[in-house]
Amino acid sequence: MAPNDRITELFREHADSLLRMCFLYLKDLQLAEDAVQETFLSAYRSLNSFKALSSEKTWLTRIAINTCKNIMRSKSYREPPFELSELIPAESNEFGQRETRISVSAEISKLPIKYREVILLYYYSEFKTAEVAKILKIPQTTVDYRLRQAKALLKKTLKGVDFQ
Amino acid sequence: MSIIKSEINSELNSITANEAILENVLVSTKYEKPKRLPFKKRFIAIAAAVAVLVSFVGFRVYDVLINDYFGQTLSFRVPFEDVTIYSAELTDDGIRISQSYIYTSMSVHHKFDIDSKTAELHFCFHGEEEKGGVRNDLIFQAQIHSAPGDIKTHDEFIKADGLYEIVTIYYCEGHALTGDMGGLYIGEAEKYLVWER
Repeated sequence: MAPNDRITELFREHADSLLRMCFLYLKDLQLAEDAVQETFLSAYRSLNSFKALSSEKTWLTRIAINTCKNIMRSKSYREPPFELSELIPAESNEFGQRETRISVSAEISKLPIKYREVILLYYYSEFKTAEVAKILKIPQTTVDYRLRQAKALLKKTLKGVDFQ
Repeated sequence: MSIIKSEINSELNSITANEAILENVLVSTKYEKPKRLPFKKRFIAIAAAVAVLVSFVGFRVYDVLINDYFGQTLSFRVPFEDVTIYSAELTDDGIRISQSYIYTSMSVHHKFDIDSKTAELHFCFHGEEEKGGVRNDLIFQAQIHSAPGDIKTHDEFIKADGLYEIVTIYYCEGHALTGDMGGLYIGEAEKYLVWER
């Protein structure tokens, strides 16, 4: 398969979820789009070195997270407050009153980055803890610990959300 | 699907990767092909492959350039642990290699690949005694074969070759090449030396 076709295929399959993950990482849609673009550019350039030792999803996620971290490390990056209001329309209740419900995305985005990333990778990207450990290059026990801590923090605000 | 995933997807369903991102990627890569491995990695990969090959065959290769005239002594330094100085002397019997500081327990194989101007000298050390043993000075004398079974005398050599340049010294360690003295072939060389103590 030609590299362009391969990248297009990967993009169609993974770009949305990567973009959402980058968005929750960076809290900035424009930066998230930049990150995704950079991710696929990097992927294109290293298509030949992809050895399929991990899944394409794992590979792309790792590139995306590295890209996000690079962006966050840049001097120009200032973590913005997470504003979902423009993205999530407020819901109307049965009396026609607009009400804002607690947003899972917003609460996750408030977590410290080390907890945010394990929650995103484990629950959103649905990687196993061993894969999360590989992607983040940290021990699996650390992933487990951070997951427990992150869930404890989220449970305070996301009452009733089942973490299964 | 986890509840969190479905919640996030539901909340962020307006966030989708638009085609412009893909187009940007494809435009950016229009004039570039996927990179080959970076040079450093390629080098490491090639070196690793060579190392595997070398360790399999049992060779270490060093390049030494020495001019040699008949009747003179060849002296060259080779970086092989304590075995550092060798000399080769052309004698009436052929070429005599003098070796200093070599463990007696090492048997040594030599081979010359000879054409009109060059000779390749091959040493093969059996490695098991590298870390011990008694040093001794050994002298090996050579009968030179231009082809298996075809023995040349020193005089024939003088006539045939005159000037020699030793361009490459090959080392081999371990047991990969532990052929009998004089029975050792390395590579595809047709010409080799038989050494006798």
